Amino acid sequence: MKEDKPIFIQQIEDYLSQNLDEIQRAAFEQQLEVHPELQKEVDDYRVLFDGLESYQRRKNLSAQLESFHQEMTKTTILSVTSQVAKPQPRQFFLTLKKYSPNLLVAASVAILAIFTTIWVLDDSVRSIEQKQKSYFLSLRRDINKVKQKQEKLAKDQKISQDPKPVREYGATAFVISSNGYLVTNYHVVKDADSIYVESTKDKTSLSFKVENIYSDPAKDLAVLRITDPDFIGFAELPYTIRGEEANLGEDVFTLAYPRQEMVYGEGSISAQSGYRGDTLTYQISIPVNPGNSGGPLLDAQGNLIGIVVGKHLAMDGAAFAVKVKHLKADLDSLALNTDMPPILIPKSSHIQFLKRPEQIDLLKDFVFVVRVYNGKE
Amino acid sequence: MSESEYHFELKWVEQIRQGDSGALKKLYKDNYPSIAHFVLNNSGTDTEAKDVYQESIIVFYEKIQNPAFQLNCLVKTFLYSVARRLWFKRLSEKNRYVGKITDYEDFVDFSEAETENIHEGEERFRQMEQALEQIGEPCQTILKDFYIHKHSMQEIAEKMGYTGTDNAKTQKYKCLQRLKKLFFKDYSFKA
Repeated sequence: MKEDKPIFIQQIEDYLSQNLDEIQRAAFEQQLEVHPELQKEVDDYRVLFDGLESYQRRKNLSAQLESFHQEMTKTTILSVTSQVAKPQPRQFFLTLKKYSPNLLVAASVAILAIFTTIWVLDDSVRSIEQKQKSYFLSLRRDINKVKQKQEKLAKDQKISQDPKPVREYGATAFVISSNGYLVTNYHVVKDADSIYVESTKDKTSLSFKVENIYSDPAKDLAVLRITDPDFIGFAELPYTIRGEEANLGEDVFTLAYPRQEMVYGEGSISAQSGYRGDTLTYQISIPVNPGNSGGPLLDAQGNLIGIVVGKHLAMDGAAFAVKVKHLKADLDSLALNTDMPPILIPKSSHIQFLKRPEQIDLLKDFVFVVRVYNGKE
Repeated sequence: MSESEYHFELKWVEQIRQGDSGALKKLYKDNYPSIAHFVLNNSGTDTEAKDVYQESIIVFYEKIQNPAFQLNCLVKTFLYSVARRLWFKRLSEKNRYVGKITDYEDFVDFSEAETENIHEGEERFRQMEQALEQIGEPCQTILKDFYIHKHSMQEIAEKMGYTGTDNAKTQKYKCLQRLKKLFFKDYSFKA
């Protein structure tokens, strides 16, 4: 048939895009009347051209929407990190931070006597580029450093000064209210010059500047609030705070950032009191590493039951988590003493009937890396 | 919806219709949380929430290009209703539909024809994308350059190494013919 010839398609296109002059058009329309199969051909091309046009419109629109999305979730940390002087030899710093002076003395005595020490997590610079292997080696080396420091501490109760101008710490924080409140450990954010929370969401990194709005050194808890003007709010929290105390032997899990990627850890409640009978905390059998501090401890239904704080050095697999009721008390007193937007916690967990990977999939957006920059220390 | 609200919405819609990218951005940012919330709480992931959301914005955008389109609810409600329709479909395609959908906003229940209409744009887009993919080179480049990137035939002739615009044109029409075949192969099947 004629329409197999390119010239014919050209005519159809010219006709459809109204590029024919009057005489040509009249001639073409006459053809259409005589050849009904030509009319069908024209109709098909009309659909095709419409399709191409809306394809093109859609492509442009999608690109535009994607740029809005990027802008909405853009990362602001980049400008900050470029100013930060990174510690040059990529080594692991461990300094000892304290729960309380009593605990410190107890800990130092203990280490001298029976090599037992409590090592509070995450007061270490997490070097991202470092390979896991060297990570562990340097970790060992730094434990010795801690021992020496503890001996020194026992004498003068002062933390040794580090010559490095700016230090960077990493730990974990999690969202406690969709309108921008997060919780972490006090020892993570104390002495901070500036604090950021970061996470990776579908390959785009989210980063928000936060401020520490409430500190509870005794329980080692801190509440952070996002101050970033670009922040629009998180989705509704999938978890809630569990009212009753956790039972011995209960299955629990945590999500945290001991390295750049989120790490899942599971275990159970191994004691209802923590280090040396400390009733503020649970002892949990979850392997934890520096950076786990501030991670949420959740029960099998995905209810919040605690906040991971530290681990026992001389005992394998013994970590500690502050009981959530202390966080609840802190949030209540924060609510009383502030005119900031209220902290809203859902009444029930949305994830209680889900399988673990599904629970984690929903939870992961609520767990962040905390980056603490400190120029003083 | 009160009259002033309605008036305000219409003005906003008009701005978007005329290609005001600031108005579109505001629309995008304002409505994302509620729809993301809906998808995330109905067994969706972030990426899925984003996809469904962007698709509903596109549906809305395409709708308002038609001057006959009447907005009879808030834009927010419209977007949410479209998003939830789209999400139902994706859930059922993935066999993840669990029978219970939790809603968080008011929504309009679309008629079957309207629902069909919501999915149509996306389907046609996919068909065109597939057809363009199957057509192979040099056709894909020529057609995309001409119809999508709006390059002139002369530019295309130079880029592809044709001796003249006429040769490029002939090639273009051959490609168009192939594209038509591929496009309608699926199209008629679905119609």
